[in-house]
Amino acid sequence: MELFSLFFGAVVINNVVLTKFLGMCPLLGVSRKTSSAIGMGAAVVFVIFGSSVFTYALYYQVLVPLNLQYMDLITFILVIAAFVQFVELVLKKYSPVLYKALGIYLPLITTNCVVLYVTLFNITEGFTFVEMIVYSLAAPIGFMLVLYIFSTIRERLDLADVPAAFKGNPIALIVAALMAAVFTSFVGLI
Amino acid sequence: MLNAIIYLAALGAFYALVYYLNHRTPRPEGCEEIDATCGTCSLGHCGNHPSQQFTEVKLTLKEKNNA
Amino acid sequence: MKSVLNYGMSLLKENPVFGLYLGICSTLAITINLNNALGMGISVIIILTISNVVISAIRKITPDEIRIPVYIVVIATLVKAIELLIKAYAPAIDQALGIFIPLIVVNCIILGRAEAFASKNGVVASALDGLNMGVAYTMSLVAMSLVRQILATGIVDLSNPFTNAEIFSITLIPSQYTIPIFSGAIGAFLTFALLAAGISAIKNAEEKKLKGAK
Repeated sequence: MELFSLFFGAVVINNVVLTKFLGMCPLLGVSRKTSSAIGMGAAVVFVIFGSSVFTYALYYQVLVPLNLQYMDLITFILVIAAFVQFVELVLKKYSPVLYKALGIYLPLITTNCVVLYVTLFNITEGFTFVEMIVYSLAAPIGFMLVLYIFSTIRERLDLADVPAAFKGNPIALIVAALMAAVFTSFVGLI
Repeated sequence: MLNAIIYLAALGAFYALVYYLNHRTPRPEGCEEIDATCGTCSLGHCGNHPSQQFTEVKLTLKEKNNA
Repeated sequence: MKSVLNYGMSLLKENPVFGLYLGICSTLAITINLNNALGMGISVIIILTISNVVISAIRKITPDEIRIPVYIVVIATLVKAIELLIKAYAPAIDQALGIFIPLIVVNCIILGRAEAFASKNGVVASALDGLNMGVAYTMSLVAMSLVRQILATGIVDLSNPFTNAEIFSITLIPSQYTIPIFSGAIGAFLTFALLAAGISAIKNAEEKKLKGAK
């Protein structure tokens, strides 16, 4: 598969949030301010990239030779969780500035659907190493893009005069529906 | 079968070790109360939920709320 | 009868999906028809109950600092076991739900209930709580999938997952009046938003009644 069409497809056409409905918890929870959206997006990019590389290596170097492919789910979730804890530890010790900016989002990423989805997807689609790198950078960039756009809309929505039943998350979900409608127009572009 | 159990135990022990080390390192100064700015969701297992903090941070937040 | 009504009202107000917005990734993705909703709901009930029981049984011997790793290992093992069973005995559900069965591991409801309830209460109470939450989740899934399926295809049908035999199939709306977008992304978000707004309106009305009575 061409690398550019893989990248563009993962960011825009098959966006993880709007076409596959993953990462909805951060979308509704963290998207109230633009600065927190960018922080969350950056943290997710880093965690997905790191844990994709580790889980890919672990799957093909340890699980397949030992014939333990059925342990993939447990392995992946434990590696993701350990990686997140490790990153938080390193940030706490060596970079308080980065910890101040990104630290609060790190524990939330452990149970984020997108991370586990990308690591599983790399295996079930049988990507080569380079394709895995491209996809595990493209999918969280797509997530960050949608999160950022969503937060800019939501900042204005919080100041608008919304009916009482729709205040907060319901009106945000209707905005998400409209964004999904816009993003489906990209199908068939490449 | 034995392979799987040893592998799972090793991986679980590694994760538990990293989690424990992280839980023990205190936050750098200036960052003790950043979880007060969060509070977006009610996930109890999130590290920022008040139920997971060190007791000193819990006490300072309570004093702040009472004052 | 009154207790059933009370239970129904508490399901509406303390709904984990529409009230607390937990576990919404799978809610939006799989509620295309009733089969999927029931398949996912029953899997979550089984996993939630068993994980609550196991975690409550070992709560006295797990060291306090490494609770979360222990919970994650327990839940991941359970989910993998259920996934393998579903792949073996009910392949129709496996094809329909796809990658969302492994994603039950990161479903906020399961880890959240383990942390909030099962780590502090006895085995029987935890089992009942797991059943309660699982039933509430299944009912939310069924409600959303009924709306989407009726509006998108006009037909409500259910088939046995183990043998693929059809149990019933009712046509409610003739096919010229169906709205196909409800089976896609737009319909999912719209339905979810409207149901969440409905439940929020009910909650607001109850609060107004309580404030007015005071």
